[in-house]
Amino acid sequence: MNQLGRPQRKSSIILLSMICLILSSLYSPSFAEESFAVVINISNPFKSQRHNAISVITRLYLKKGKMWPDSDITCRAFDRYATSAEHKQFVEHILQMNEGRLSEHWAKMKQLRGDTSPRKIKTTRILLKLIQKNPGAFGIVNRKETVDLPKGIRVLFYF
Amino acid sequence: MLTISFQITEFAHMDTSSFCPSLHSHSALKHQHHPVLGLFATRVIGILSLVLLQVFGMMSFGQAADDTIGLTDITQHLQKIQHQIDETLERVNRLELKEHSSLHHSAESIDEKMQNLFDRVEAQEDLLQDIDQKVGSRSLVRAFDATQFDFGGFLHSTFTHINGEKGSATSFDRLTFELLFKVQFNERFSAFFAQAFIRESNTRFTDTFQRTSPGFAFSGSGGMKTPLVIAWANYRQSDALNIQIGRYITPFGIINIEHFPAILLDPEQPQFLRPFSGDTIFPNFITGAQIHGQLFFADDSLQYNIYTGVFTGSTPEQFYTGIRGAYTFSQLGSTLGINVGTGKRSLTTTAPEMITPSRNSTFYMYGIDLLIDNGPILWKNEIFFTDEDSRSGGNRMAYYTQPAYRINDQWIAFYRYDFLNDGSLQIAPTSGGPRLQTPGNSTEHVFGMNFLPVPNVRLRASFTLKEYSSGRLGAQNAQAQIFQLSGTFSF
Repeated sequence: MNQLGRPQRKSSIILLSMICLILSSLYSPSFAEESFAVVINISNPFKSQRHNAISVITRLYLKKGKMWPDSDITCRAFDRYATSAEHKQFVEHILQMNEGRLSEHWAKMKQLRGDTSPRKIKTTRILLKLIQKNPGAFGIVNRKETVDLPKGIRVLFYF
Repeated sequence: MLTISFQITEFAHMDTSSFCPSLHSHSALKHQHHPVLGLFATRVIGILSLVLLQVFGMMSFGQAADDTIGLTDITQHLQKIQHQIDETLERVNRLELKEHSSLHHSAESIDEKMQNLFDRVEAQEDLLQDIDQKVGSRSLVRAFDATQFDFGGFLHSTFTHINGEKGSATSFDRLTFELLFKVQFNERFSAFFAQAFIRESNTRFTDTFQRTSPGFAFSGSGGMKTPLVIAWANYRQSDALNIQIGRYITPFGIINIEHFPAILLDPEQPQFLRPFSGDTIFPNFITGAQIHGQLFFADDSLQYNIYTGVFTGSTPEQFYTGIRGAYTFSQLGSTLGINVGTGKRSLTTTAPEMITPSRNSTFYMYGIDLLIDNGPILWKNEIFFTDEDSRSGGNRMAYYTQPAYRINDQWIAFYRYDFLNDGSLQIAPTSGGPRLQTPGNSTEHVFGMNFLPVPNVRLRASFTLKEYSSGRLGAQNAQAQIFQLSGTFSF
């Protein structure tokens, strides 16, 4: 029985290993994805679970809503240049859209309510200064740039 | 004397290397020149003075004591001093090394700082160049008094060919130039305006029942119209509560709210929304006031509108009032809307044989709409019913379903099945002349394709198969084919 069972055990081990290999190739560690961060003004009291924070940031960025939840603060969203990694990753992972859908959205908002896409900021330094000055502002920065954030700014979440 | 000579001997045997800075320190000395050399000399003199003071201090002690005991004590004491000197020198060497490395480090950080400054200046220059390219020596447009002023617009043009049962017609039938303005007075107050300049001709069948002999006829004076399409001011208390006054789009359904050609797959809106600025089922526009807002629940949201106002096509005293609620299921990419309204119409009708002027006839309207916008699928569905005053000639019903598929970011294909029962009304001008609408039902099958070479340009081609069913006045069934090319260029 043992002699007959050995090849079966061997094949099941091989099969398990293969499944593990396939699964491991499908799995991408979260830290590899979290290369960017959404930062806000420190006087903004908004705090939430990551999932809800993403929902709020999505609707504020798309100007579906204009105020931060449970506060009297009007949001001011800042974007990065369309060619930047910050913008591309934000559109793909947070908005879960592509550039075509995003253009469609802004065309609609412009025609219906006169709302335009958030102002695009080229340098992180200027972005951070704008966030420092506006209590309702938020922007996207590289994770490395959050190591020594200037006073008055905090990270809302990483992505 | 013995003590003194011994002291000198011991001093000569001391490890003199500890007095000297290390080789590394020497190089540092050479590099740093006088200030560090002076510091070193001062330290050596200080240490020598310490030794001499200690030695002379012990001489007096040695004179008073026994020679043997004194010698041992002196030796021990000297060893202690030597140990202290070694320790002091070690500390001095360490300090010098530290000083040297910090100087080296600060030189590095200066380089880094300089590089950082260069980077920042370069970024500023880039930014300046961008601004200069956009503005140059031109002056900027500024609002008299507003925190923000944005304007844009679009140009829309169509080319249409109609093939009817008794002939065909072709025309560049529509040219619209529209300007959009958005003004932000402060965080709470804003205003939005759309001013259109239109030169157009409408499709018109010239036979008695308006279904077999196609043609075009200019609308307005020589086809020229300049309507103020939208003009509202809005106060935002919160996302959940906004108050709006002015002329606004009747917030019913999906396509009426979208209505701008720049975002429509087919610029010929569904039949129940024609003629533009009409009220076949409900008015396209209203002048009045509305309360509207959005409530957010995690990923989902609820939008509402409660409004009242007058329709420019009716008399100024005839109010139209309605309410709309729409719930968005974010995960499904779907929005379900419910619409209810009531108002009065002003029509001159034949119902069916005799001409009866019908003024202030009340009607009620109910509608449901479903929008599915999920991935490549964009599917719009609306159904509306009216409950008309008996003098108005009968209840109306309209519905359409318009599935569309986004092939990629540039190409979108769509189809629409569109049905309208206009209540078997036939509207005739009070001054006589041909009837303006045919009685009975009409359906449309629209096949179309949109191409967006850039996001601001939308080019379209569509084919419409129009079918009329017979009406009460003896009209025959008829068909017409419509080919249309159109382009909308927005900015």
